[in-house]
Amino acid sequence: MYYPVMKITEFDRDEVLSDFLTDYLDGNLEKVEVNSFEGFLKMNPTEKEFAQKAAKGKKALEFMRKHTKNSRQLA
Amino acid sequence: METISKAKLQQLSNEDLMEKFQAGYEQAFNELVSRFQDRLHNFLYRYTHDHQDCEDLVQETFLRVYRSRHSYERIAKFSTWMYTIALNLAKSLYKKKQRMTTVTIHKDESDPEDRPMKLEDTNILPDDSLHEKMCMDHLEKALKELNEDFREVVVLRDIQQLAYDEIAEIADLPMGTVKSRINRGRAQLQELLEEYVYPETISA
Repeated sequence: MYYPVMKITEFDRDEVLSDFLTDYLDGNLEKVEVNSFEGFLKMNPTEKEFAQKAAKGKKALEFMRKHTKNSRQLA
Repeated sequence: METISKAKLQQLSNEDLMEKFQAGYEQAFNELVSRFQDRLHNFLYRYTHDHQDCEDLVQETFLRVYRSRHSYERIAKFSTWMYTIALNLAKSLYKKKQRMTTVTIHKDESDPEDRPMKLEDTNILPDDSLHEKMCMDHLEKALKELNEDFREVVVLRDIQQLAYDEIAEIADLPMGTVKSRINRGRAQLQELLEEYVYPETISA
């Protein structure tokens, strides 16, 4: 089985940053916090790439959830 | 015992229904089954990828809920308690299947009545449906390949939409680990999806 080799990021080292990312992806940050977090991402390309992939993965799962729900409703 | 109307049952929380069930109201259990059977099926499908196994596991989960109703205490959310039961059953089945030897049944050449089955071609679909099906196929495949530690938590969060504290309780992990695994699981899922769509960009 293939597992992508993912780089270790600051999110793995710092729980506060990991929390920040979770809230960012859930849309639970205030505007000023969003700006500050995006500023951090701008300065850290590895973390930015990771955050973008996590956001896209979350959207893919959202699509899956909606599609599964619709299929079950049609069944 | 006083009868409770269906309309009244539908207004009760899961935890209230469980208390009614503990007090002897079987209709409360039926309402819980009706609320959770599809969600449980979807959740368990991410583990088994087999609808028949899912049906069996859903039945078994409800059977355990039924039998163990008096061990439920209101300090836990009902959904957390039930998902924990379902997850443990799914893990047991997974381990059991890993131990089983795969047997392939071939066509019996000596039997003239034994023919290969003709299956309807389901690949011909209108464009939108085809695109949607392809996306779903990629997603199912990627999710199946995802490391189990990550798959468990992203399914609970992004498919089942459970709260982080519920996931921490079900998976028996600290909250920080849950959040970190969810983010890593999402990112790894995206990498797997990119591999299917743009395989030439993946270096050996």
